[in-house]
Amino acid sequence: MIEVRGLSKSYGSTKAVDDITFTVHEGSVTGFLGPNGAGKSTTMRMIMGLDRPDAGTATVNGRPFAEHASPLTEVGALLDAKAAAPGRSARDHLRMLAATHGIPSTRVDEVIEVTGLSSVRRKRVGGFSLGMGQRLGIATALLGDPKTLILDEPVNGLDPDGVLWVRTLAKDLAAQGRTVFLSSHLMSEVALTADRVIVIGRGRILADATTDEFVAGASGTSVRVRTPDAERFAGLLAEKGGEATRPEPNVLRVTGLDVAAVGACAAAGGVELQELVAEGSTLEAAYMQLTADSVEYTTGHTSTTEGDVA
Amino acid sequence: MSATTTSGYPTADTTGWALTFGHAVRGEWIKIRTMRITPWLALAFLAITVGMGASSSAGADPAVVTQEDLATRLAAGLFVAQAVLAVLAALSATSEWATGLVRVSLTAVPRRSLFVTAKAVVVVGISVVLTIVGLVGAWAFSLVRYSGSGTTMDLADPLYLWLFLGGPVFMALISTMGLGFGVLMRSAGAAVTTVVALAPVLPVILAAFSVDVIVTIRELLPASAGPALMGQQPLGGSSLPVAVSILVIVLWGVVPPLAGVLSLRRRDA
Repeated sequence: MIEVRGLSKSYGSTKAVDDITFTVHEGSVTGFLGPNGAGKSTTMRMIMGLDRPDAGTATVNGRPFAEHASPLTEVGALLDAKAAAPGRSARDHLRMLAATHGIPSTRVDEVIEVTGLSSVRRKRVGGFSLGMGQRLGIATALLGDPKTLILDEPVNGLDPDGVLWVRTLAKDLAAQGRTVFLSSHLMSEVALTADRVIVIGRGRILADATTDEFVAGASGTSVRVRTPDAERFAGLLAEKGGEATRPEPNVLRVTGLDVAAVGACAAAGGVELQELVAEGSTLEAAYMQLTADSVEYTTGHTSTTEGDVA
Repeated sequence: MSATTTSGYPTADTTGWALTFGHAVRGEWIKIRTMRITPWLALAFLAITVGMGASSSAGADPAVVTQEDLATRLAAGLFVAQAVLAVLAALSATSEWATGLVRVSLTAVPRRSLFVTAKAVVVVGISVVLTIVGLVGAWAFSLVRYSGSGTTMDLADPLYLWLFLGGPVFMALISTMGLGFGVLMRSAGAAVTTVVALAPVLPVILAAFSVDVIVTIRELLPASAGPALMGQQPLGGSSLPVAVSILVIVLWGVVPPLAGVLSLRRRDA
């Protein structure tokens, strides 16, 4: 379990993290979602005791990270895939970390195997591709068979196979009762992996809910209907609790009812439909809407969805 | 006893896995051993210590050379070679920041005092072993040089005892100083420049001046205070009592790493 209470951190006059409070529970995958520069990495570094908070506390499994007698078996972290000396082999990198906890080299070989690095274990890390570096970072996080995993953008640079494997891994680890906290700037990635989602923008928590709640709550789903009988149908929909606007004479945009309910209402009322479409609200759209005011850098034009590069 | 899941993730029996002082030292030992520059610096240190020690003692006239003179000549290489150890120790710290490795290292060893102490134990161990090997090498060459000349170099002589005990301690303190500056400065360029200046370069430059304040500064530099540990006078001599010089070199060896621990606790990694 990770508990963050009133955490704040400024760099100069920039507030990277502004009085945030949240809890990440064991047994589930929690996504930490936000645009680049929203404060995700800063928060994770503070949880790991790498950056000093200006205010607030962060504990992992009940105490500040640095106070654990066996840090690597408590928390495994992937914070920066490039964080390895280029001249050292992948195996030596893991061996020296394993040695600090008396972890046997059989475990080093296990995590090398499972992350798919066996063929490059003796190669110097300096020659690694981004994806291989990412795999080494994941191997590092898994080394101590930790109770809690903190993974900053774990699928960054991975090929599709790797992305799929990381999703499965995260779910497996959570199913074993571990705490899995992973960040992403891609809503789609989090939606596919996480049970819960914490959204951060400009250093503040914008949402903290289950993924399903987040989708339902933030989406504001609407249904688009084309019908020659628009006025009468709007009245029928209102009786069922729907709210309709009429952007065109023959078109209604209905909120408060889903597609099935709108269709049933039309059938019951004998209304002729020429078109019936669920509109707009993908997860991506919900996320964009939520963080629209909090992105650090925006492009000149307004895009409706973030590029799905995962 | 590892069970696998659909991702193939192997669970482990973590009984006995814990961060201890010994484990942390072992981790740092692997880290410094697998630094690519380490063997080269070790080789350079030995070459300088043995080479300069042997050639210096060989240059003396067997007819007039004193035991004090010989002991000082044996240690001649250390004056230059100390820079190599200081640089190795500084790099053992700055290499953490050069690559971002420090954020991984502090995830395994989050206690800053343990992090620095484990590094210190390793650089001290390396310095002590290399210094003893280097001095013994220089001594062996000198034995050959003076064989049959009637000049003996008896290791039981207190002069040599000072040298073989004090030399390693001197080098150990130089290395912890280098480590401390490495942790404080984080940049290889800044730390290496600083320790090389402090250890052999500045004392040589300052020896050319006889102004009182500069003489005092020179005497307080680590390379000038250190030879007191070996019962020797530094380049240009020293007016400080032996006890004061020893205190000075101990402070050089202890204060920078302590300051390094404090700085690690205060600053972001």
